[in-house]
Amino acid sequence: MASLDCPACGAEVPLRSAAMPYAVCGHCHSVLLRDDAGLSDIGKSAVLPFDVSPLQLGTSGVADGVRFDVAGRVRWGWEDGSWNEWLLACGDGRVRWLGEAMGQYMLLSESTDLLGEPLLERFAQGDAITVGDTLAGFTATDVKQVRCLGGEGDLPFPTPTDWTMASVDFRDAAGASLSVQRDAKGVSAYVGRYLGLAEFAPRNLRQIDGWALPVELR
Amino acid sequence: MTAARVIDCPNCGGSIALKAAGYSITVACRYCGSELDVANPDVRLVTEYHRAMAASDLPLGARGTVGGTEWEVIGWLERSDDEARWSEYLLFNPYAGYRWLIHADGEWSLGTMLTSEPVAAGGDSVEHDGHRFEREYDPVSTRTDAVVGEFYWRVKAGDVVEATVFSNGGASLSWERGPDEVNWTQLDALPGGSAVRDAFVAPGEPPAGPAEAPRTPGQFGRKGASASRPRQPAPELAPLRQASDAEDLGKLTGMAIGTSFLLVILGLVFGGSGSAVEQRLTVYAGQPAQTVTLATLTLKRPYQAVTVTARSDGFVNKWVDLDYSLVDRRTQRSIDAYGLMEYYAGRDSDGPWTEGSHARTTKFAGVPAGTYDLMVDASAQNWSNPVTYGSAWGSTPSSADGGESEPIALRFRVKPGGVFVGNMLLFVLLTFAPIGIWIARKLHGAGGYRS
Repeated sequence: MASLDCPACGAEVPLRSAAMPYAVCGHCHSVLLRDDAGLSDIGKSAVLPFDVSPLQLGTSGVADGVRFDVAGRVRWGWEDGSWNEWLLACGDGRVRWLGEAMGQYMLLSESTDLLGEPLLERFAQGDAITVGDTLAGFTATDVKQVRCLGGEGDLPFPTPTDWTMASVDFRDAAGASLSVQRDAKGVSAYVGRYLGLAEFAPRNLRQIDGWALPVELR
Repeated sequence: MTAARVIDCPNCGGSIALKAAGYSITVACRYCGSELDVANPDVRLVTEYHRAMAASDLPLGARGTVGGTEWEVIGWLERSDDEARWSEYLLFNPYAGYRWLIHADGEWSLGTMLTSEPVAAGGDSVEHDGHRFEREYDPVSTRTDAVVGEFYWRVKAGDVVEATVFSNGGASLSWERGPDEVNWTQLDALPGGSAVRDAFVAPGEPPAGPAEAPRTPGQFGRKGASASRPRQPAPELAPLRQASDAEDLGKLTGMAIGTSFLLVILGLVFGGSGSAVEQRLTVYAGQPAQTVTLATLTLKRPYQAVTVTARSDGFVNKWVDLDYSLVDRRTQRSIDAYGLMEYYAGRDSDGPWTEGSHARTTKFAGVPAGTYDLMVDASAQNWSNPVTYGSAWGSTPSSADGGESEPIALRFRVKPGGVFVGNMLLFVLLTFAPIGIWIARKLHGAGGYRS
């Protein structure tokens, strides 16, 4: 794997996904901007708190029939907890996200199709969405004010810890999911579905002491 | 990498290993019952308690296999409504997420959180996954009375939700509404009686098992005869001397036959259990060893044997090394065993010959209860006959020109249990030994009279 040297500490920063403009140095946690001039240090990312996620940078798998590598992670926190969003660098050149909360996984990709829905237009103007609101067959099940706790790996944006947003998860009757986020820059929507870990045929999962990797995940 | 983050209870100072770090939000200290906020790196006391925790059927940390997945009990809730009181255990596996074990009125069920929303289907029914579920009763207030362990939401004793159950005869869906969320859980019935309790083994404790099961691993000891000293039925044999010679021989023989029979029955009963698992693997001679998991076994008896039979067909003048490891999932400790499958054929001055077999049975003995992965590391080698008897006799072609890429298809059959024929033979021989001694003595004695 190609790599550049971190301008802050000199450690190697691997180029997992060349399409991503930002990378977090795994050694000193500097957030690095990648451009034609190489890497430049634009600040520090928080050290991610310990968690037992089975995913890690470098885990690979198949999503929508396309091979992916986990290239980055953002951890989001809310008043009562936190969750991971893993950036998947996919073989078809697209970017997908794998949301991980409570041992459940949501495969998501950004979509602008639903942004014209009245509920989301009002949301963009500052209105709240409440649990039970419906939108194109989806029902809002989870409404939270969240804060970025930090990131690692390659990312499409820097992960400052003062970054806050409103996050709403919707579900439908068939296991599809919709995640809507609103921050200072506006509203974005991500659609996809819930799936089990085995469904994306992961390889190179994290080995966790005292637990055997299930046979189908090896 | 480690699996747990260790925190100290700010109230009692007890060390608590967080099993689902990153997911868990509340921990109710297992020592003093205080409720702690672990959502953030600094642990914060929510509610201080100083009381002994109520005993639950399944201790925190107990592990068991349900639906093919190993789970650890990380949390326990005692809940009640106007009519009933029951227990709910939170199960966790980092690769499989969460499940619930609900124990009510002596019945157990497994709860799985739904990721799709059941749809109202008119009246008091909902539709989910193509099935219609009828509401069983009006929602009632359900209170959480006691909490121990860790949870992925902010739980505390005194929490109240509205809850009801929708059912369609077989399966049922639990519905709960809290202040700002609705949760649906699918409930599947589990076997009754002590099946669930027996399936979960507490850390560091001997597993539950039949009381009459043998406690001594030596009975089917892996080290063979030296480790397995058969218990001689000596006390019973002693008084026989007083009887007449003819009676003695008859009784001794009868006893030996009876004891042998009993031993065989015991061997079959304690040795044989569980259903067999089959697995296939193809290896190539001269290629690096291949490792594959043959089976995941949940062994319930305090001690038992595990039998692996490897079979192949067709290969000649090759041997296959089979290095087996039986890895305990909890301790990651491995019990190793070795099997050699070899088959040679050729022709010498006496004509054609063959040696070896295409089958090899390997046994693990005295395996303690637990969940194990059985792995095999298999590699094949060509045997090249170093001795040439001259071109007139020759050797078989495959031994000479290798056939490096010729595949060897291996079939494995793994079965918990299994009687050690060698040990059983030894038991039988030793059981009959007194008769031999008796006869020898009689002959010696008779000789004595003659002299």
